[in-house]
Amino acid sequence: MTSKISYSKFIRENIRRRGWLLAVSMILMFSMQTLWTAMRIETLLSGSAHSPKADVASLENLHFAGFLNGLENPLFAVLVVLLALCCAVSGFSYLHRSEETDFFHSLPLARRQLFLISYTGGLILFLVPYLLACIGTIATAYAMGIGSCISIADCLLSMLGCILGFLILYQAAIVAMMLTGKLISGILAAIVLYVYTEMIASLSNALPSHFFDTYHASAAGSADLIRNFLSPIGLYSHLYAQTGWFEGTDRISLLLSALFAAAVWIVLTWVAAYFLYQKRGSETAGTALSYPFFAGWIKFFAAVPASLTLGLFVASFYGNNSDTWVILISLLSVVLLCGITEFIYHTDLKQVTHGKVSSFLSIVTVAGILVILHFDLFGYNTWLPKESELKSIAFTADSFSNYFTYYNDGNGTKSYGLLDEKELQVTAPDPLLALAKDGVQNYKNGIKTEDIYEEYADDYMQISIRFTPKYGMPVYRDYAVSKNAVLDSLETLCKNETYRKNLFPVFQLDTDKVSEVKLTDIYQVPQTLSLSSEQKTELFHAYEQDILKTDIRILQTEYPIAELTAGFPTNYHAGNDLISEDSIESVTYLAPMSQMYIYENFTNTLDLLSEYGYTIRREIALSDVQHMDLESNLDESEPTTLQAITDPEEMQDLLDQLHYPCPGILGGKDLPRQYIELSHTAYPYPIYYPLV
Amino acid sequence: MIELTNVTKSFSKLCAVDQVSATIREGLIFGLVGSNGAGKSTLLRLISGILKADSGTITLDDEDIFEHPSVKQKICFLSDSIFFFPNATANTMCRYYRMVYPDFDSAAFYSLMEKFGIPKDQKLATFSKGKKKQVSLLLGICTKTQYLLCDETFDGLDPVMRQAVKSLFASELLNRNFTPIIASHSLRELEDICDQIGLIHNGHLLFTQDLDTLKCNLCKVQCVIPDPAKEEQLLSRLPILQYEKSGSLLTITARGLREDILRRVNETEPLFAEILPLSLEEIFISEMEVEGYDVKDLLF
Repeated sequence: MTSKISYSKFIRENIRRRGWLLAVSMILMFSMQTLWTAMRIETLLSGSAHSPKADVASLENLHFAGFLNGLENPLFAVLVVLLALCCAVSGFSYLHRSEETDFFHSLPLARRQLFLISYTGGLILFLVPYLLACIGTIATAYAMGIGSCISIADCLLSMLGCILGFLILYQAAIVAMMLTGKLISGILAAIVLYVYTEMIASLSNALPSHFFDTYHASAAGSADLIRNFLSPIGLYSHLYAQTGWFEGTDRISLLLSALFAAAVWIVLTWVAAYFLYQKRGSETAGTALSYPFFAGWIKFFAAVPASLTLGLFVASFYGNNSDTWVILISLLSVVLLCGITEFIYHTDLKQVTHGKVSSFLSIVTVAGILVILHFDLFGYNTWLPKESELKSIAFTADSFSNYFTYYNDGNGTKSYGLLDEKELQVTAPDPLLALAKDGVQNYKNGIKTEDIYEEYADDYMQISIRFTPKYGMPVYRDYAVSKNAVLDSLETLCKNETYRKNLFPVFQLDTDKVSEVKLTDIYQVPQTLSLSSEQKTELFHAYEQDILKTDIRILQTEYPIAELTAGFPTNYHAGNDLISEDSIESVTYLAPMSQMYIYENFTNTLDLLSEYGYTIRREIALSDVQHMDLESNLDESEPTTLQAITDPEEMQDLLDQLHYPCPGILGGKDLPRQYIELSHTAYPYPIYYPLV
Repeated sequence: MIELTNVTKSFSKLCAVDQVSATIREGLIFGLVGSNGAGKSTLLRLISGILKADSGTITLDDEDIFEHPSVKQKICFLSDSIFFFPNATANTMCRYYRMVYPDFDSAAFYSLMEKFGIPKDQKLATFSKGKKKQVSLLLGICTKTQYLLCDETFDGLDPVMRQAVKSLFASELLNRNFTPIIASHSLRELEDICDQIGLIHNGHLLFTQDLDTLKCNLCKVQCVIPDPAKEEQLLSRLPILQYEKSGSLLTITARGLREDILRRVNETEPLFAEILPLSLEEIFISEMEVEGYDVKDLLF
């Protein structure tokens, strides 16, 4: 007798038994991928009320591959998740029913053979419909005449991403099925495996963010790493994002890291599932867990993060973010979750109090975490590094995002990464360390970042600091500090030309890519400057010179008189060289780089503009005003009042008070209690001016 | 030959099979009897390789059974709770068994199906419990495996079908190397068919013996002994499993050859003494009583 079996026959039989899933997969794949893509292309080609009609030529850069893996079709991405779960559950649910387990395990087939048969069957149940749907989708696109927009290599990469993503989810669900003995607990375990690390990643950000006033949100870089590489759902979405829209060599490291992480995940989960199947006792069919020894630990590791998440979520859902409620709801949740877990284990309400040790440990751990966070027992908010241990220090202010518009090079704008910009790291810790010390002192004095906009907006502002130690990971903190202190520090920092050049966006502007330049003065009607490319370059150069020599204080204390805006052709829009779905619908839209403010002392720029024949108006002439309203909200508790101003003297008086609207480099200059709403001859619609 | 050596299997805190050692010889029908929850099904699931023993060994012709498909090809297990694939017909199951067991005899299966009057294209889910048992048994027999493990298989069969299955077993025993192992509560059924009996109680295998030897070694005597001293003497000398006194009528079940026991009874000069036939059920009850599983404790 031989133990060799015909795998193909067994796999065929396995698939035949799950014919319903094959049929469902086929129908859903075709309707949610092929049909959906066809409809989308048809809409793009025929246009709609909201988008202009696009021709095939304009679709040449359409990233079609994204349609094949869910990047361009979120519903399809969800479908892949559901199919992965269904394939795993239908393939291994026999392990959860004793009569089926007895039947299969009594057959002259080894566990590894049974595993391979079910595993391969489930994989085929996804692969066949998916590949057919992809072929159908590509064929449909060719039939609709957009074949020239399709790169087969990109499509193959996208499909690879989707298949790897499926494998990650499929195998995670199989592991869940191996760890459990009941269908419901298997499905729950799969969902927990899918989202667990996602939950931990969110908590690692949300908990300190809630409890620590000085916590800096982007300090959660490790959370993104956890999310993208350790969570099945996160890795799946990271994978389809990287493979569905490959932008060339710039992002090859991202692509390769995603593929590598996927490969590691797939190998590890496969080995885990295979190993667990060998070790799993047939007698565990019908029990909640295959390895009851771990019941207490599973309860602990599930209940603790879940209860903290619930505490934060429920409190914010009801609009109350006070620590008291978060603590109360978290503690209540951990008790409930321990009970629910025991109920799942025993399916007996009388036994919800079982596992007292693990329940007690869970409650104590949650309480301990909350006490540590609430009372800041480790001094998170008041921590400061020793100067001797610092390698460098960097800072950014909240106000920068309102004052600067950074050029988007396709990887997001620089404003989000100012703290991590290599060139903005200051090796001499002063004056930023002094600023941090101020922040800590302010915190101790009760001036906190969370209250800054309500109580201290006039004098204080929020800044973020990155401390890079000589050894170890960077540490980030947010502080509430006085504007004067920040201005002093900024002034010192900007004495360094390199620092200044890296802070002001105009120095990162690629003038060759600028298709048009607009000038906006106090009339707030952008005027496109008719300039040759040399003139454009000269103008930006002059502006750079003005930025280099200007006193930083002026940028906060004075109002600008005008603003320059650089426009780019659509192909450079949003920094991508491929047309995105949105840009197809707005082919004429130019993403500008604005907020290049011109101050009275920017003589180089002003002279050049004058030479080109453009004059900047400093005031609005009374004769140009068609209508003027004064909008007041002096008392926040009262509704805003609107008063029409018709008296010429009063109008002139108000016009004299108008400035070009600008928040200032440290912000706060655009938060008046009164606005002037006026329409003038150059622009018939109302324009708002803050009345300071 | 299947050999169990010190086999132990526990489920959580419950020891279902405890240090069981036994030998199941080829070509005989082995009956496994025992009280509810004694460990019969667990023992069969261990032998068929469904469960892995915590300790001890289970071998078939000196080869481990668990996770050895080539050895398991000699065994077919028919569970108490029958499983057929959803929407399966007899045809579907036949096709699957043919794939799994290379010696599966499809022709014999269809022929038997016809004789038993079971439609081969009807969904098995629509069958009665008895009909499902019949299909399961026919599939098991047609696998042509050397060992057929039947867990409560006769339960749910009507008397005619039971007889038919027994004759089917007999025919298989005549025609090939066939060893059915039957676990059942229906001791009367086993009595008719089994050559060898194993009695299991609380996870312990009390004994395995040929049925004939078992019956020869147990004897039930009914007698009336006028002299109480002699009666007392008899009771102390005989290896008694069970005795009952109703008025002056004494009923004794004792271990030993019937001639020996009758001789000893006659030595007490009884007014009346006779040997009564002993059924397997009585043997079972007597043996179980020795183990403390007394039916009288369960009567209210």
